[in-house]
Amino acid sequence: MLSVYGVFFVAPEDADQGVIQKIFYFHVAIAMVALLAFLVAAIEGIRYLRDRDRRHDEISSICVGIGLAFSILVVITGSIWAKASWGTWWVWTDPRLVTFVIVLLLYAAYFVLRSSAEGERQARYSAIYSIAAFASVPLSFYSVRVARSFVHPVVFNSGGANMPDSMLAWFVVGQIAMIGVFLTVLQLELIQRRADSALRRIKARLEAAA
Amino acid sequence: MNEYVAAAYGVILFALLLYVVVVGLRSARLAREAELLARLVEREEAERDEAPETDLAAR
Repeated sequence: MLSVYGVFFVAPEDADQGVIQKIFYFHVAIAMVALLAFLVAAIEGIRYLRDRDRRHDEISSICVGIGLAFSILVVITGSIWAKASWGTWWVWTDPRLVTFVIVLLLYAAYFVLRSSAEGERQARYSAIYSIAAFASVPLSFYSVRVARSFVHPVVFNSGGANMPDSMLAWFVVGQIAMIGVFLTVLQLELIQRRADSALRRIKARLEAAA
Repeated sequence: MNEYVAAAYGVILFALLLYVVVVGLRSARLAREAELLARLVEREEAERDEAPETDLAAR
C-alpha cells in the first residue's frame, strides 16, 4: 500500500513518458522477483541433490511456480506498457522480450517433466531441470545489454540507475514489497503442502488400521 | 489516470485477489479433511471404549 501510494502520489512523473512510466515500478520489481524465485529454485535443487531431503525439492518446485506466475505477470504488464509507449503489444525483434518468453516456456516445461515422474525420480529430475533451466536467466538478463536492444530500455547498468533518486527510492520500496509478497506466498504454499501431506499420512494410517 | 496504467495495475491486483481466493479454497478443503479425520478418530475411540463394556455384559 505504501509502495502504491509512493509510486502514484510522491514519485515524480517521467518527463518523456509521463504517467505511463508508473508501470515501470511494479513491472521491473516483479521481473526481478521472478528471476530471484528461479535462483532460489536452482539453489534448492542443488541442495536436494546434495542432501536428498524432500523439503528442498518442495521449496524448489514452489519457487518455480511462483517464478512462472510472476513471469506471466511481467509479460502481461510489459505488453500493456509496450502498447502505451511503443504503440504495439509485442516486438518479436527485441532480444529482451523474446529471451524472457524463452525463460517462461522453459520453466513451464518444468511442470510437464515433474508430472511425468514420481517419488525420488521426480525430485531428482526436477532438481536437475531447475538447475539447467537457470542458465537461461542470465541469458535473458544480459541479452538486452549484449544485443543492444533499440526498443527495450536499459535502466540499470554498470554506471548505476538511470533515474533520479526520488524515483529510485520508490522503486526500492516497490522491490521490497514484491520480495515480501514472494516470501509470504512461499511460506503459505509450504504450510499448505505440509498440512496436506500430514493429512494424507494420517488418512493412510487410519485406513491401514481399519 | 491513463487507462494503460490502470490496466497494468488491475492485472496485478486481479492476480493477487485470485491467489487469495485459491488459498482460501485450499484452506477450506484442508479444514474439511482435518475435521473428517478427527471425526473418524473419535468414532474409532468411542467404538473401542464401548467394546469392553459389551463383553462384560455378555458374561
